[in-house]
Amino acid sequence: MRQNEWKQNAQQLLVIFVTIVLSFFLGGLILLCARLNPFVVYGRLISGIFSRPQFIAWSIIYATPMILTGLAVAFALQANLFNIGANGQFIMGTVAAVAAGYFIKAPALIHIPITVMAGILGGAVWAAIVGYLKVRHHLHEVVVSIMLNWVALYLCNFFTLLPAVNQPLSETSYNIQPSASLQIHFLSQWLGRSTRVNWGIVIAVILAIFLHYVLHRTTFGFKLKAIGLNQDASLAAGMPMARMQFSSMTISGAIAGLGGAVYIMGMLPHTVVSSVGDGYGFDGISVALIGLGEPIGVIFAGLFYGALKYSAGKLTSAGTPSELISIIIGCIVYFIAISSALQAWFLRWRKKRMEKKLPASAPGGN
Amino acid sequence: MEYLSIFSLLFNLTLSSATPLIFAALGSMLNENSGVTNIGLEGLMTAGAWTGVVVALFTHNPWLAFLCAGLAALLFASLYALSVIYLHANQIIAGIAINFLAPGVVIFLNRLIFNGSVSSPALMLEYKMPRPFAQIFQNNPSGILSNFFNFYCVVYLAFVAVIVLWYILYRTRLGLHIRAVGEHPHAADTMGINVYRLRFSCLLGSGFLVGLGGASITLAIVSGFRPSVISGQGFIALAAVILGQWNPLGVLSSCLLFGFFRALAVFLDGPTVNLQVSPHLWATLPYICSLLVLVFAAKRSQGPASLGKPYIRS
Amino acid sequence: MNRDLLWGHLLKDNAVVMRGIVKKYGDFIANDHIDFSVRCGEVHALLGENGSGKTTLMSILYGLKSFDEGEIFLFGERVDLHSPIDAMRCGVGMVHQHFMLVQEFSVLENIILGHEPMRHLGQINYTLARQKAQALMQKYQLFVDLDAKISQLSVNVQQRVEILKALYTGAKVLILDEPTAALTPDEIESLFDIIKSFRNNGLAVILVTHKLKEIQRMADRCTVIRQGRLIDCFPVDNISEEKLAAKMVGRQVMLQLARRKKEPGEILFDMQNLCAHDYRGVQILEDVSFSVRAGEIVGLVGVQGNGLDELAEIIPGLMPWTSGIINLQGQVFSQHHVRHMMDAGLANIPASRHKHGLVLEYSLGYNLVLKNISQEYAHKGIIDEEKIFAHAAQMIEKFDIRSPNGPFSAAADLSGGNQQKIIIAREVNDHGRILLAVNPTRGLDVGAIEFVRQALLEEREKNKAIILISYELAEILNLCDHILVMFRGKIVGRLSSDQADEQKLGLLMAGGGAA
Repeated sequence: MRQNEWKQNAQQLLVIFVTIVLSFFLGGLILLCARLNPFVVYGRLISGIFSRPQFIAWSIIYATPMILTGLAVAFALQANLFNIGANGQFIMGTVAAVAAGYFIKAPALIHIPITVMAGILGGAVWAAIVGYLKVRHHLHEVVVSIMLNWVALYLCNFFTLLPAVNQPLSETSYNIQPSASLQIHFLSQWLGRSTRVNWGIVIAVILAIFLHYVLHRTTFGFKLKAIGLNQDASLAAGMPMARMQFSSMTISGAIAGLGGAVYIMGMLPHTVVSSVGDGYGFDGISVALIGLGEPIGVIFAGLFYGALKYSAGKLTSAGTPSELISIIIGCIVYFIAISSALQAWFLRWRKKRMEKKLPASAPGGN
Repeated sequence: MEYLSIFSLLFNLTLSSATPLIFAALGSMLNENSGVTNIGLEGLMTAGAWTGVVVALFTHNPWLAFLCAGLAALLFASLYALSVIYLHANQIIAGIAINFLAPGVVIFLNRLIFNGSVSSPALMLEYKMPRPFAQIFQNNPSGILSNFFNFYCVVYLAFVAVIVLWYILYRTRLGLHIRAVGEHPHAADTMGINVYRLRFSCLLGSGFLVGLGGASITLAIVSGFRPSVISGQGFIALAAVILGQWNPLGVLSSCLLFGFFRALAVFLDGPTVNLQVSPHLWATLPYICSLLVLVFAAKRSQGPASLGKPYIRS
Repeated sequence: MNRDLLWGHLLKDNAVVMRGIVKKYGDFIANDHIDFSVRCGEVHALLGENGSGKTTLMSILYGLKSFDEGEIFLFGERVDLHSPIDAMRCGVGMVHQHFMLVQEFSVLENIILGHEPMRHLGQINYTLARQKAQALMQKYQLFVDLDAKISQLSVNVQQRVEILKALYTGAKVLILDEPTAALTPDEIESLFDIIKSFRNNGLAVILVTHKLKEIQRMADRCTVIRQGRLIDCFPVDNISEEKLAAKMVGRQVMLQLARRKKEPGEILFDMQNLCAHDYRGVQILEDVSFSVRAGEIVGLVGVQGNGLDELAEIIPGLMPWTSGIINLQGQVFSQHHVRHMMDAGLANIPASRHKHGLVLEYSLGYNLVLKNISQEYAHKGIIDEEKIFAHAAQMIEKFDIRSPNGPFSAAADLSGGNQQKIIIAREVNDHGRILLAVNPTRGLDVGAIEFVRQALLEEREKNKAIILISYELAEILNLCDHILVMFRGKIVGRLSSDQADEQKLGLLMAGGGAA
């Protein structure tokens, strides 16, 4: 059964590769119009990632939350559900993690798992609301998620400003206890004091491998993918639709919440009052799309995207707007949006060709 | 008298905050009534906001700037429309693409034009949108009466836009066709209406309005462009359309509601107030209301019957 | 008289002349050189069973479909119809079987959609529209509340709106596609009065139907189409139902498979008093009761739209029903539940391979275990790939499934026949003793058809209870021990295979015979 999957994947990898090259090409054109040298700029972009170990570390650190939200979105996507609420679930994860990380006092061996679990729970509950409303009341998950994203943001602000939580004279909460931190201090020392190296990437990679296994080797994954590919046939085969859709959303939220927890425990140990939030949820959507909705792909897509975003931030001081990356990513996502339609047409064309090849048969009607 | 003063201030802030929402929500309402969603409103508003300021800075003509703002957003909207209507792209993904592309392009240009800064220079008062009654309140610009009556043009225009859109949707042939295409595109097709072309046009018109919404912030309420000048108002507009049940008067009411809560937040941020309940909790109310409407007003609250489903002519 | 003169007369006398119409879908010929004409002031019935091509022909006349060869003349003029607008401009109106009404709009808005009278500033002139609509209602004695919302109207009234819609565009030729499908007998009478007024007003009415009684009552002439070809065109004077039915179904020659006489066993499937309604509240099944024993094949036949399609989805639990029960091997179900009914022993070869039968992107092997992967091909939730592969290899051998990559081929890459074999392999090896097969040979080549029919007979030998729903009468007659005929949601005939033949079945299917 895997041979068949590899062939499909190879085809999709080609599409993504072409899409990325095309987008960078367009980006280069835009640079030319702005009278900048694309080769120089792209060169700086790459050296900004690889030229120093510190840079590589930061690229990975930046990428970690995105990989996790990307995994969240990708997992839901397998069941053909669009979890656009990853942002809100991420935020609820950060709230829960700060609550558990600050108020509980325990040795690291216990504190870390508890804080992680809190984040997971926060995200899971938040997504469960979306799942429940979809399954019971048939509300579209995109609409509900967008609303809940905003409610989450404001709840986070409210939480941050609670007297018990708020660091006086600031718009942030107290930091979590050091015993809840995921930072790797000896590496930070070696690379430079402010490099927030943390175990998050390890968690993300292990999770991705685990999700890959669940999706492709277990009956749960089998049914989930079937529902995503053909709801009617899955229903006719007796699969429990409602239960699986709800589970899928909740698990997706749990992963996004984990992303929030890892962010707090590894990068920024407090919540902040803000009007928009960091947007890791939306980055996660791009990462999931570029990673073709597959957990392993998400790791690479997340590293790719995170590294680019980090390096692009340094471009401005050298005279190139860092928004170049937003434009390139926007192009990539745009081409992905069109490519699924083009691929469907390609598949239909290929099927017609197949029918002419195999021994004489009437058109395989439905 | 102090209560009246507070009330007038809130009134003023509410209308000012609601105005950009009204434009954007009217735009969103237009394309949703034709059966197409567009979550790229954030990007479109940003494009409109930036274009408005920059054109005003260079031409000193706020009306030209307002128009160009609409056109800039229309341009991005046409990109979206092309992919979604003729190439049957996934509307959510394409919308996210716009949310990356539009602000990216605009801030990119800003850095190039204004020496690497992400903000534009401030816009002088004389180049902003005029306030038609400013003369009358010259002596007491922050007084109670001024708060009640002295608004930027864009605020009045927003209300005009509501009336115009109501007229178009419910009185004209165009409006009937738009709503038919949103409810039952196949039926409209059999009666000879070109579904693709109509939906495309609605997206363009919607983009224009959303751009105006963005510009109504930077040309009036604020005096220049910052990347955070939109920060979520595009998504609020989406919620406002749902809460307003896809008709212009409902949309107006829900935008006023959202505007009120934004005004409240600004007001309570100020020095003198100490409230029991945090303004942030108040801010969640409109969203929870929208959700409750969706849950309890089941069938109709889902919007036009074919919303979000691509129409493919077989 | 020479041909040109004849042709001239034809053009002059007839509102509609379709000559030599050919429509192909790849290799499949939907319309094969069909000639069809209708006079003004005439009610002309177009009779044909499922898949005969009558709907295609009318879609062509209404500009919804293009055609490959032939010509169309309307009122003596040759026309090129590229879309419904062209058709409407030439005076053709169509009342669809599945209404094209906007639920949220009022009756008036639906009637004028696309042809709104205008005022200044793009405004619709509703006063004028109302006047025109009311004049129409008076003329044809067809009354509706112009301000009511469609979603609040009954189906019967909605149909009147559809009719008014067509008349409003100035139709002089009216196509009615299966108009009595959702109507009660009283409502049918009212419709007949309306059609009479059309005839009196000089309209040309085309009545697309398979209901013989209606043709006898209403039609002046009748054209019969079968398998894409024109069979006959004749006046409906005193023609008997039997003759009509005979022309509709014809006599089909088919390779007969041997069916051994068998003594059936205990009752495995029992449906009692089943009633079902669709989402509009219209009754689609009324008091359906039948049972199937071990070792017998029961066939269900009927023309599309008489409840057969719905029954095909109700039996495996894909669709809810209103009242009545289904008893599967002793387990009684009063509500639908796919999994439980599956576990009670029901296997289903669905009507649509691509919709309900297969996950096309999945491999052959995976599709074979779609129903029972958790139960039999996994250990503690982890898939046993070896076992699936072995099973797939076995099935490929046994059922001779041809594929580009063996068990690893994506189901989408197989031909229709081989896809059907996957489904059959899966459903037949199920532990269930009850099998439902719906149009199992549709779209298949000769070899695959014979294979499928043989497979059904083999299952019969294994003492399973088999329900066969099919549009192919010859297939039913060959394979089934008992045959039930559905008409308007009820069982109107129960015949054993010895008693039945095409004519009898055709008659019952079209509402003929004893009421």
